Amino acid sequence: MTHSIKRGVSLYSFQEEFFLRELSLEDCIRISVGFGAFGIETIAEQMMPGFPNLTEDFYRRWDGWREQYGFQPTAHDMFAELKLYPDRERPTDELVADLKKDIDHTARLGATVIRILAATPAEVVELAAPYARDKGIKLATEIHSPRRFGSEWFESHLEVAQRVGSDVVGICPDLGIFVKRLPRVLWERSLRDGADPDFVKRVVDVYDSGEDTSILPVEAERLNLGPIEQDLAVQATRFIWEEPRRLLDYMPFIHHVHAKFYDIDESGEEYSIPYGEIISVLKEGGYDGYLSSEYEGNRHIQDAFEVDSVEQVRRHQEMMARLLDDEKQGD
Amino acid sequence: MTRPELLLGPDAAVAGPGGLEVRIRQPWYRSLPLTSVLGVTVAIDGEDVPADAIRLRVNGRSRTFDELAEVWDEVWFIQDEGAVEIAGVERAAGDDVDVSVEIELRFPYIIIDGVGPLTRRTDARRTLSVQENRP
Repeated sequence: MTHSIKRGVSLYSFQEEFFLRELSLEDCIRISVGFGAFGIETIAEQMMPGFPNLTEDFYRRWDGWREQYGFQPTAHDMFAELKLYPDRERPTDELVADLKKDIDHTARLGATVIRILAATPAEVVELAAPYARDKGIKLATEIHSPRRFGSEWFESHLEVAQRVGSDVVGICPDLGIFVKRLPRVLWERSLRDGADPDFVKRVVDVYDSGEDTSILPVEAERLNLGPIEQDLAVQATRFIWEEPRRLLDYMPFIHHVHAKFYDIDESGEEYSIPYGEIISVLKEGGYDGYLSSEYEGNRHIQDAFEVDSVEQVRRHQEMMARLLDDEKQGD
Repeated sequence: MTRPELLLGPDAAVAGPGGLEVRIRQPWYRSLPLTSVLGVTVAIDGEDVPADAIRLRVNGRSRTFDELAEVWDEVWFIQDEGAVEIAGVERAAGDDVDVSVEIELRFPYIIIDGVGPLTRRTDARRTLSVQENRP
């Protein structure tokens, strides 16, 4: 099937190496482009010190990298600092003013999408939408586990998109809503930390068979298990599995996709998320935006293994290129 | 990003001009406003340092934790060290020192339903060789 889906990387993926000063922002861009991922998604609060007051010097350097590496800036990931003040709520007008700064920054980068953090009030998105439209920026609320399609939260954001227009307001599904099997890196970590293997097996069995995971923390408590088992039980309740075909109900609203992954093994497969199934659905629905690699396995393995985000992203891009059958791209 | 080694690196103990300093990192994937740093506790050679003997220097400015609570418009960049300044504890460069440190962060953008903003403690303990002062 021909399609126009493009590959990209969220530089979130390289958080470990960036933190350790092993990779710079420019390194992350160069590496991604080297894997054929020409869409670059950035988090200003991670890699652009000084944000939201970046200098023109910074933006000129960015422009220079665009020219040198030939990438397309895709999305800027915003944060709504909802609880900035310890003793009071953040007023709506301050959140809207922040979002307008995000819009200016995104436009200056040359990107077209802002990942709206899921916790951002829908009202804030609606109030900033006219400004976004003027600047040619789309506001895409992230659909991130444990939030689901069809929930009250989801409907409130969808209503805004319908009212304002899907050309400006939409969604950014994070593929972590399609976790069919509990990530192996998660429960292997629990085993390394000394969790009871029988309980770990129970958690995995309940999750992978699609049973209600809310019973797991209760069971851990009833069995008088320790904090490691209880933590695993709670974590299992925060992963979700949505039916990928639900994406077809919302195609006009999908402006960007976070291609979340936890672990690509040596055979080149993601253990927990059925990428083949999801990409087929996106092709069928005519999605023409980016699949932006978002590696989030480091936190589960860093106790015992050297984190190699670059190799993980390489494998992930290779897998997506295979599933997209890149030579058939473009119609 | 809460690996203890990320919080407390091998060169973390420094003989500062005003006493021992423990250079730490903000163990998270993005920079946070300084008001997000709820507190740091330190024990040196097994002895707890009183809270009022500790200040945190970030972006070249030393503050108490009460002062940090009010700083909303300045962030701690994730590649930068913060210096925990410990009054009344002197150590010379080359000495070995056993350091325990714990930092508590509040994430202003991660709201747990029915609970409020997520907070997280990260701790680390290491025996370190005290380094000469550095910027």
